[in-house]
Amino acid sequence: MLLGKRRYLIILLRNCAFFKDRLSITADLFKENRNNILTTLETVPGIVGADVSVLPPVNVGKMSNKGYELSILWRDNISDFNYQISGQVSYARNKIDYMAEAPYEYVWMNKTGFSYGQYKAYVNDGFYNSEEEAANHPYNSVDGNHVQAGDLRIIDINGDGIIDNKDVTPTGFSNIPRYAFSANVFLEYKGFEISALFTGSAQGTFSMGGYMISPFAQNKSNALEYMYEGRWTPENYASGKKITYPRMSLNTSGTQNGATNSFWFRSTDHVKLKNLEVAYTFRKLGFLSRLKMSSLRLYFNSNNLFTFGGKDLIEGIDPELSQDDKTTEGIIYPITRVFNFGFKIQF
Amino acid sequence: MKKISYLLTSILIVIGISSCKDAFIEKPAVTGLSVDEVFSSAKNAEGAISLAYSYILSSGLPIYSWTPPYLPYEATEAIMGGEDVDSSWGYMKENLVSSGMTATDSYNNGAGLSDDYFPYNYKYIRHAFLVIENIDKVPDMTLAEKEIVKGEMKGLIAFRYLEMMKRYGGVPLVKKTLTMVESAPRATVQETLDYILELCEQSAVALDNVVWSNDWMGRLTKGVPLAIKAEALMYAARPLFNSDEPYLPYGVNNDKICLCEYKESRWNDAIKANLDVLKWGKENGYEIIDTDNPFEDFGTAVGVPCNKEILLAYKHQAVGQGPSGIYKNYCPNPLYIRSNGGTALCEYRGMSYEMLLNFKKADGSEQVWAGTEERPYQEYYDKVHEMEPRFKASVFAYGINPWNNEGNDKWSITNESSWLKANKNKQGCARNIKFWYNTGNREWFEFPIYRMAEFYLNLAEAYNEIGHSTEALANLNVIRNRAGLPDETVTDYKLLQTSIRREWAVEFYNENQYYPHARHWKEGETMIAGTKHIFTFKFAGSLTDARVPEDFISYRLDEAAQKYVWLKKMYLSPITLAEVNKGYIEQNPGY
Repeated sequence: MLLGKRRYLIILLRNCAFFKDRLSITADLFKENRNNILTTLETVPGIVGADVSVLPPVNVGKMSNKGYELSILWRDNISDFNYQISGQVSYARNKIDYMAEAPYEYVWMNKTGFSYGQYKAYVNDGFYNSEEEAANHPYNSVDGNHVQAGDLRIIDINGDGIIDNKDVTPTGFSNIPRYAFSANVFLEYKGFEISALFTGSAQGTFSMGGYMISPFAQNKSNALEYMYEGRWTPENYASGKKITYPRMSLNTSGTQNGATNSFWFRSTDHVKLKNLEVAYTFRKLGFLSRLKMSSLRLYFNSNNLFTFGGKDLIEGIDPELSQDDKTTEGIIYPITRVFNFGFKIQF
Repeated sequence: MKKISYLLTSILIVIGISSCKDAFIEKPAVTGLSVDEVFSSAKNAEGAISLAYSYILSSGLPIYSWTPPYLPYEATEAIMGGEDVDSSWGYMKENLVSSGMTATDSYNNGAGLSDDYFPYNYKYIRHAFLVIENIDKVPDMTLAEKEIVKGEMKGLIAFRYLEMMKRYGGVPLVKKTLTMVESAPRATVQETLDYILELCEQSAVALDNVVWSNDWMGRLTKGVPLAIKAEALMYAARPLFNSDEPYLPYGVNNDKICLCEYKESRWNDAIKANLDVLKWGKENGYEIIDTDNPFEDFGTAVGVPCNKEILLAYKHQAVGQGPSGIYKNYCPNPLYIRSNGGTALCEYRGMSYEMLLNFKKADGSEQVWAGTEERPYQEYYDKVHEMEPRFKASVFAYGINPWNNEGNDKWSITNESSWLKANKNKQGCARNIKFWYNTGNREWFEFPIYRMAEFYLNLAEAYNEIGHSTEALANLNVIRNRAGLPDETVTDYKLLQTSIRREWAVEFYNENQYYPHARHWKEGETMIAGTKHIFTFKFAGSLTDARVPEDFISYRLDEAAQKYVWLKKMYLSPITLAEVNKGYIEQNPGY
């Protein structure tokens, strides 16, 4: 079967050099339409009696993608001091045009027409801060309409007076960020080098769930610090303290404060000093040359030195984390900082 | 490096059309048995026939406990109706009873919270039609045998449509195997009922005089389509469908959830059909077991496979009894299951106090249980011993060796590795073991789908509805006599109705009758909703579970974990949301 793809690529600049090769720029714009994507048909009526897993997938899916890429490099030297700075930014936004999806009652419930991986959740607007406020809630069909002070306030989007799956709307973006950027700085002066790589992303979302939001997991574990420090209590609310967690409960996942609430979808926008390397290369070796060494390079290297942003995520979660079964369950390894020291000897 | 500076100040537009190599994305060839292979010999066709039984008769049964999308996680119809209460973790069943049924596809693999997964009904019906349409291809079966198989399939299809009618009202009528481009609109209740009766007629004719050998015990006999017809007509006569107005207004679709015209004559039709079943049963050896030994009679009828009272049972013993849902949900003494791994869900279940109140003492009088204050355990012990034989044949009471497995070490409370114990988790008033009578080493059981006792209670109910209290009492007392209770004598319509409904609850405890009855008698509020109660036991010393009477100190009435909610929309189940989205079927009102 033919996978059709039609791509419109506008190359604005490609490795153009200016200013005597010191400035180099690449810029692209693209728009891509893909069709004939292999899709599971979800529009066949169930009364035909053939399980979706039995029906062969058909090439009817359509998806489109558009964005741009820009990269700039400046390289120069001032007598002995060499330096180089480069930066890249890319933006891509995709959209599912057709996936043989049986349409829901409201457009926002569909997957079609949104980005691939777009998250959806109940819309959260603060907390119910008192019993009176909690008493005035739309009928909540999650967890038997049990709502108390300290719970997340959910907005009834379609206005029918009931909180149910029809009020689940797109929230945030998808886990794969739309913007990716990076910058590279390289400085060198008489054998002394500093090289830094910054990376970052914007318009990406991470969904916290499982052990991240439910304390005392499996009746064996503890509560996370942000839950304990920032949980909603009447006293904390009255004193104006920042609330970062609804009222403490053993059963957060099963109540209306569970994972499908926009409160738990956090932005992964960040900039990281991903890599920093400081090195010194000995040219004049003095007594070492008796060992037949021609050069010696000492370096110090580190990964993930600083991360700016990702402030919505619990401290320690790596904003670059991908969302899969384990991380959704809350099994997350915190961001690690790595330091290396080393030397390189050439004989 | 060449210093070529190509100063591109003009804009280049490049249109690229690229394609991938075909080989990467061709769909794989479909392998497996084709229809022709399956129907190439009688032996192969047997597999298809028994699969039809296994599929279709599984309606309402938790045949898988954790594999969606059947019943919601750890739920059974007994729990949904409040016959049993459950204290173990299972957010789906908790939401089901405390929030009610919902059609959202975020639960249970898209099935929502319901008592059925709508599309699978049609998957199973399609399989039965496949058998009908292809059985003629089998070379080594006689024509007569093929007609019988077709009759069986039609009976099974009628059964499944009846199950759907009970749950959804009118449903799309699929009368053959459909192709992907065909569809069927949602039929009215009347049309669905007519189709069921039509299939029963055809099945009954084809199965006339069919008697199966012992090898094939359990396949459909003529009595089954007659029973299906009797049950269908009873449900057509009951208040939910048999009324001028539906339970919730539905505009032009009223006739899909209601017969839209009250007719008392529906009860007469039902009476005739039930009498036909009993007559056929008498002539063919299917009768209610009554040898004046109430405990043995009832115990055998519900707990011994292949007894003469069972007209149809679910006989599929699923692969791997350990993890199989039907054992985990119905066998509370899984010595064998435990050794194969996994937990028995029914360990955490027990009869609700509200259901317990339906059971009488052996002499026919009311039993009085403790209040919310602590009472000595000996009281519970003594009161349980005073209960009627059906109680003793149906349940395991805490601290008391089950009567229905006397002398069997596997079912003894003194056996440390048996699960006949009360646990510090709340567990109802007693625990269902009615399908395990004189089990011996038997590790399997058969869930009774039609048992002759049902038709006597059908008749009692129907006669009472048309005001014939004499006949109603006659049929009701057949059941009461078998159970060892004195005759009922009230003739007032309301009192007799209460008595009959109480008899239904006791006789058919945990047999998937209580919940549909509550819906079709429009008694959701009284029979299902509300706070359920259980007995909480205090154990001696620091014990966390208790087996023998000496381990117990006291008991008291307590509230169960979940409060049951009843919403009007729950008189019928929601159609799976994905199907409604496809646009060919209307959702039931309120969802």
